[in-house]
This record gives sequence, C-alpha cells and structure tokens, in this order.
Amino acid sequence: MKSYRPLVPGFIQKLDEKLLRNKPVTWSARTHLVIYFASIFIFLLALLCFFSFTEAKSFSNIETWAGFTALISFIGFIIWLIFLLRFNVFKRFGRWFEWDGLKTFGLYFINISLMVGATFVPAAIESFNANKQFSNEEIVKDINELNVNAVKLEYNQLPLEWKADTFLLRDKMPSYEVPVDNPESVTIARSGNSRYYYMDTVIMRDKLAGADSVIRLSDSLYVFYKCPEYTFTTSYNADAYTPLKQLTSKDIYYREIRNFKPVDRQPLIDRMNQLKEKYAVKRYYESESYTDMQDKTYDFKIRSKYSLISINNGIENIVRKKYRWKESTGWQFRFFFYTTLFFTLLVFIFRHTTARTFFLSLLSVVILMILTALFGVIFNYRETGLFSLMLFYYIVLAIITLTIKWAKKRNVIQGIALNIVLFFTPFLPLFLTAMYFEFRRVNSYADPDYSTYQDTYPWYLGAEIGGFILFLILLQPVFRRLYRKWYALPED
Amino acid sequence: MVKVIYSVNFLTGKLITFAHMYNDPVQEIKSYLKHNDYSLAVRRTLDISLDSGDNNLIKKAIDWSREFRVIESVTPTMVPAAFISKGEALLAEASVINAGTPVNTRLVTADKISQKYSKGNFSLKPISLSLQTGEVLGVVGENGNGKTTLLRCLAGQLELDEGSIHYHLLSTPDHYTVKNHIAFIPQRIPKWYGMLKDNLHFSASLAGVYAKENDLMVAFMLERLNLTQYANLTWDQISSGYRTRFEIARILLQKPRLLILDEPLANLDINAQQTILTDLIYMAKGSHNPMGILLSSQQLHEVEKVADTVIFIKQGNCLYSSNDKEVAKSSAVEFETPEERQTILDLFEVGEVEIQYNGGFYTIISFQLTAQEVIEKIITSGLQVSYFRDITNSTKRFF
Repeated sequence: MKSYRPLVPGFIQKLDEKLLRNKPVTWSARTHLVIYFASIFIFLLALLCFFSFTEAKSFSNIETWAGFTALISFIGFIIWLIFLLRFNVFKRFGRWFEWDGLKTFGLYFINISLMVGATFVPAAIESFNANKQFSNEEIVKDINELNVNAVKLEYNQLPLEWKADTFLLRDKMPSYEVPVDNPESVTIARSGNSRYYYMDTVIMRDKLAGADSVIRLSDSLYVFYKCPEYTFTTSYNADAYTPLKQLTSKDIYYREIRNFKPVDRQPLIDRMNQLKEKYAVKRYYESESYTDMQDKTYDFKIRSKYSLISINNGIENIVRKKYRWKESTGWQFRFFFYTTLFFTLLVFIFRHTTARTFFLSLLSVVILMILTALFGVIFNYRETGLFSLMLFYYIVLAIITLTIKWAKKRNVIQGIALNIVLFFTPFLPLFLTAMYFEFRRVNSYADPDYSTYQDTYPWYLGAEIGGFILFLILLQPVFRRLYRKWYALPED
Repeated sequence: MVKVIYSVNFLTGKLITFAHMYNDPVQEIKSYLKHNDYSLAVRRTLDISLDSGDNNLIKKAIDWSREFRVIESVTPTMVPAAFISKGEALLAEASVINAGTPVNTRLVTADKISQKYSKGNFSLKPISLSLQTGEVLGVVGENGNGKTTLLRCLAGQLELDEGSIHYHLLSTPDHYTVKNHIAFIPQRIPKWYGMLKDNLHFSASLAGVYAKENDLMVAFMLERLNLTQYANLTWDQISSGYRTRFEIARILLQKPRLLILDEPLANLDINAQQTILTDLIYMAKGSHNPMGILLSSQQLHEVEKVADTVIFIKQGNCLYSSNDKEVAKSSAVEFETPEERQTILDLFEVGEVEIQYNGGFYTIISFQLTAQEVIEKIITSGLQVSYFRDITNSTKRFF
C-alpha cells in the first residue's frame, strides 16, 4: 500500500517510507523533503540567475533578487511548518530516543539553513558570472590602459607642474585648530598669513605615507609634493587580489609624461572605444565631485570625452560583484547563521511547548522590552544599567525555569521562563562580553592610558562560538529534560 | 469439546449476554463459520494470528480478511466455498501454534483519589479502584458528574488533590513515562494531520515497531478495525465514527498497557458500538499486548455488557460499584408498552409493585417479586410489549 505524494520522485518516496518506519525523529523533521525541494528551488534559482546576470558590468539589483528569494523562502518555511511539520514525537509521548532533542534541533537547523541560504544564491551566481567574465588581472590591466591611453591622447591638456606645500613640524597642534568631530581630517592647518602649514608628528607620518615626493629643508621644515591627477579611471580594491597593481598618477607621470613622445592616435582611440564597449554602462551614477566641476577642468573634460565616468561605473560594478565575498567581514555568514538560529530556536520552542505558552512567551518578551525601555527613560539608565537589568531578567527567569524540576502541576509562568531562557542562552556569553567591555569602557574614563579601541573582536568571536556550543551542551541534558518534565505535568 | 465460557456478568449475578468466548478460539471461530458469522470469524482469526506471534500467519490472516472485504462488497450473501476452506486451513495452522495464556497483571490502583478544579465548584470526591490486564472497568453517570475528571486523573492529566495512583508496571515513573504507558482517547479526538496511514506508521515507530514489522502491524490494525479502504485518506475525508476507529487503531499500535477511553461510543452507530466494544475486549484479553481498559459512556447497557466492573458517579461521588457485591433489595424491570399505567397495575396485587414512567419506558420495582416473576406476569398477561429488560443490578436504576 504505497502513498502518493505529488512532485516527489520514487527514491525520495522510498526514503520517506523507510524513515517513517524506522526513524520517527528524523522523519518527523522532514529534512529529506526539505533538502529535496530546497535543492530543486536553489537549482532553478541558480539557473535563472545564471542566465539573467549575463552582463557583469551592469548595475547590480541583487537586493531585489535577495528580497524576492527571501519571500519565496519564507513561503517555503510556512509550508514546512503547516504541511510537513505535523508529526511530533515529543508531544505524542513517544519513546525516549537517545539524543533526540539535539538531533531534532540539528535537523531543524539544517532545514532552516537551506531556506535562509537560498537568499544568498543570486549574489553567489552574480559573483560567479562576474569572475567568469573578468579575471582579476584583466580589470587592473584595463584600468591602467585606460589611464595611460587617456594621458597619451590628451597630453596637451594635462597639467605638468606638481603642487608643493611647505610644512612646519610642531610638537603639538593648537587645540583650536583640531576640529573635535574629526581630528584625523586636520592635515593642513595654517594660521593667519603664515607661509607654512603646521603639522605634528602624527600628521607628518600620514603625509609621508601619501606624498609623491618630499624635500626636507630642515629638521622641522618639509616640502611635500603632490603629482597632478592622472588616474581618470580607478577602482578601490580592484587590485587587492592580484599582483598587478593600478598605476598611480606618479607612476603614470614617470612612465608616460616625463619623457613624453608623440603617439599614433588612431590605434589608441580605437582601443579606447573597445574598452568603452567593454565596460561602459548605459545607466550610471555621476558622483557629486564630477557634477560640481563647473569650471570644466582637464579632468572632467577627459573623463567626458572618453566616457570614463560610465566606464568607471561599469568597472565598479564588476569589482563589487567579483569581490563581494572577499571584502566581507563575516557579516554574510553572521546574517545567515543568526537568521537560521533565530528561526530554529522559535520552531524548536514551538514544538516543545503549548501554543498558548509559546505566544505568551513572545508577548512576555515584548513586555520585558517595554519595561526595560521605561526603566531606561525614567531612571536615565546608560548601557551598563540596561545590561544589568537584562542580566537580572535572565537570572530570575533561569531560577523560575529550574523550579520545574520540583513542580507538581504544569504552570504557564514556568513554561514561559523556560522558553525565554532557552532562546537567550546561545546569546548569553555574547551579552556578558558586551557587558564586560561596556563596564571597562565606562570605568576607563579615569584612566587615560586605557584604550577603548583595543581589539575586542577575538573576544566577541569567542563569545559567539562559545554561546552556541554552550547551548548545544545544555540542550539535551537540561532543556530537553525540563521540557519533558514540564509538558507532561498534569494541569489544574 | 466446545466449552462455552461466559464472560463476567455482574448485572444479573448469572451468566452473560456478551459474546460467547471459547476455551479454544479455533473452535470458536469454526462455530462462527458454521453459522455464517463470517465477519466475526475473520476478526477473531486476525486476533489469534496476532496472539500466535507468527508473522506468516498474521499475513495470511490479513489476506484472508481482505478477501472477505471483497466478497462482502460484491456478493455479501454468497460466500464461496474456497474462502471457507482457506479459513479452515488457516485455523488448522493456528491450532498447532501455542499462543500462550495471558497472565493477568495488576496495572493500576487508585486509592481515594479526589480532585477539585481551581475554577468552578465541581469536585471529584474520593474514589478507589483498581484494574488489571484483560479487565474492563466502565464508568457511567450523567453528564457533568465527574466521569471525564476521573479518567483524566487516572491518565495523569489532572493533578490529584488527595489520594494516590500506583502504576504497578512502572517502578519510579515520571509524568512523561506515565503518559507513554497509558493511552487516553478523549471524547473530542484531536484532529490528525496528513494521511491516516502515515499516522499509524508513525505511532508504530514511536512504540519501537520498525521496518517490516511496522508495515505488518499497521496492515493488521487497518484490517482488524476495517479501515484499509480509508488508509490513504485524511481526517477531513472520514466520518466521526471512523475517526474514533482510527484513533483506537493508532493508540493500539503504540501498545499501551492501560487504555482509557472517554465516551468512545458517542460517535458510533449501534452496530459499530457493539463491534468496537467486543473488538477492544478481545484485544485486551489477547496475549499479544494484554491491557486494561477503562471507559466511560452513556450507553449503559453496552458498557455493562462488556465491563468486568462498573462504577456509577453522581455529582462527583461514586454511588455504586459492581465490585461491592451488594445484592439489590428490590427487583426492577424496565419495559415499553402502549398500555396505560392502570392496566399494568391491574396485573399485580395491590402493593406488590411500584410503577414509574419516564415518558418512554415503564419501570416496575418490586420488593416481593423477582424480576423473572414480574416479566413472566407481563408476558403471560397478553399485554403488547415491545421491549423489556431486567435492570435489577444495572446502574440504570440510578438514573
């Protein structure tokens, strides 16, 4: 007696029947069906993206694609909840399977990770296509070629004189010359009719790193030279992942301008047209600096003449698509992980508690947030006060949760406490770390040597990983047992 | 030798009206076949095949049952000889397998349990009872008098105010284990989702019945409760009566030791009520998974026919338990006739009987005559009687 499930091939059908008859915990999570349907969806989506994202230079509307995919994933999530997640070993008072709590959580995590992961597919395919169409070296080579050719073709328009500024080194900059909002922006500060600009050692270090040439007149007097701008096309990070680097204005000056020889223009113009065809985009965004060039400087004229603004946009688009994942500081993974974890925790709680207690738990969290905000406003709490209040909530709820061990009757307050404690436990170490550094920051005001900008990242990363591990360790022996005890308790 | 063992009958203190049970079930089934009781024969054959523990025999019994369903649907009055001979061959095979005799084990003892809801005034007064495998305990009483409360207390769903419940097969049970050990079927069965068949496979898996055995047990239960043709349907596609049957099938697959049913007959037609009750009793007394059954119902006669013990609850108090062995001080006969009360009274001497009328039935109560004598007088008088029943030892008297 075989049952028919639409859109499910024979081998999945067989697997489904085998799991149903042998592994009820695994079967009830329906991971095999989610993997199957998610794979089909991801494959079709990838195919659609592959044939849609044919032009790497064009403007990326990946956010729209991601939003569209997220919507479909959410519909899939709802379908999974309503039509597939119907069988619950826990609520049927089934046998006590070994590690079933951990296993169930893991299976839910896999299912939801596929749904969340699908939203990254368009971006991944876009990057794949961009990398396939343009190699890393090719872009840098073309940027350099564009700049060199422009210089060769428009030599007569180019300014050749380097800008020189004389700086006097002082022990300390007068405080009135340092804007409070952005101290680093003060590289030049000239008082009155002085012939010099002033700088301190910090500013000097920065200027030395960025100067095209420097002449030291005395121990405290320096002339900094700046080469005129010859890089009409440039892209930040385009050469970050290749040994070939973008030529600077100084490089172009020494290579092409200092000993300039007249060139055969036509091949260069042809090549410029080829590159325009290759990179220029029809729809582009002029940056503010170009539109502000009312005086039609050489820079603007050259860019306009060879469509370099449009080309630059195209190159920017390509570079952004190519290096999207490399430039990441981990936010994509965090977005993926925490979204998955968030929904997994909600589903896990929903499957281990009564519907009433689940929704009351959500309500309780909202009420606690409102209370916290009210406390914050009324008592003028700073971050440390709010952190302390939230830690207090957690401790109180954890104590209520532990009282389930001795409970004789199913109590909704204990159920709510258990749900909230379970939900926030993975974030507890992260929360404590943030709290610790906040207290250090507050207390360091009296200690000028303590830097608030010390590298806290490893601590936070450790707390993130540690929190998840702590949760997994506690899940089976603590949370699952408490749920088992609480859910089976008699009512009234 | 066919030895007729009548099941427990507490009603009259005599013998039963419930289905005849034989010492030798093979002989019992043969007699059913002989008297054209094919449906019962098929069901009982399924029972003995299950008790045998022989998977081949179970498969053959399932096939034979399926064959019967086809015959029943095509030519219900003409059963082919081949079908009967196949059944006899099956019985011959079953007769050489020793199924073993189920040992009665004490399951639960409730000692003066009482419960009061935190909201409302109703309270269940102290009640004691005990149940062992193979036994049926019926709880009767009017609506809102505490039947469901008692059942829910025993199922571990309500906290006791006083008293204690001891589950003899569980050494140190927590509430989850108790709920795993007991199956409770409420009056309003919670909706199932998905295909009915999947739910049955799932329940069998939960009970540790895996792989081919899982398939076999589900097929068996579908056949045993005549549900095969509905297996691929969903909850919304079957009637409430079949929902009850499916719930019973699902619960039985989980192999509970104590089965608690709250008003299981409420959604069943009169034939189905009888069938379900006898099926449950047969399965409870079988050696495959002997269990105790605790059920509540408004269908007094049906419950009293099958129950080993009946308790009557009114306003939370246990007014009567058939275990108390109290002999009724008066006889009582219930009957239906279109005649006037005076005509009936004229049949008896003055003061010999008292007649009550509830609008449908007359109830004659007598301290001087036995029920048999009352019935004899009514029948021999030539009165037009369409129904009569001796309710001397029935809880019907309390209604």
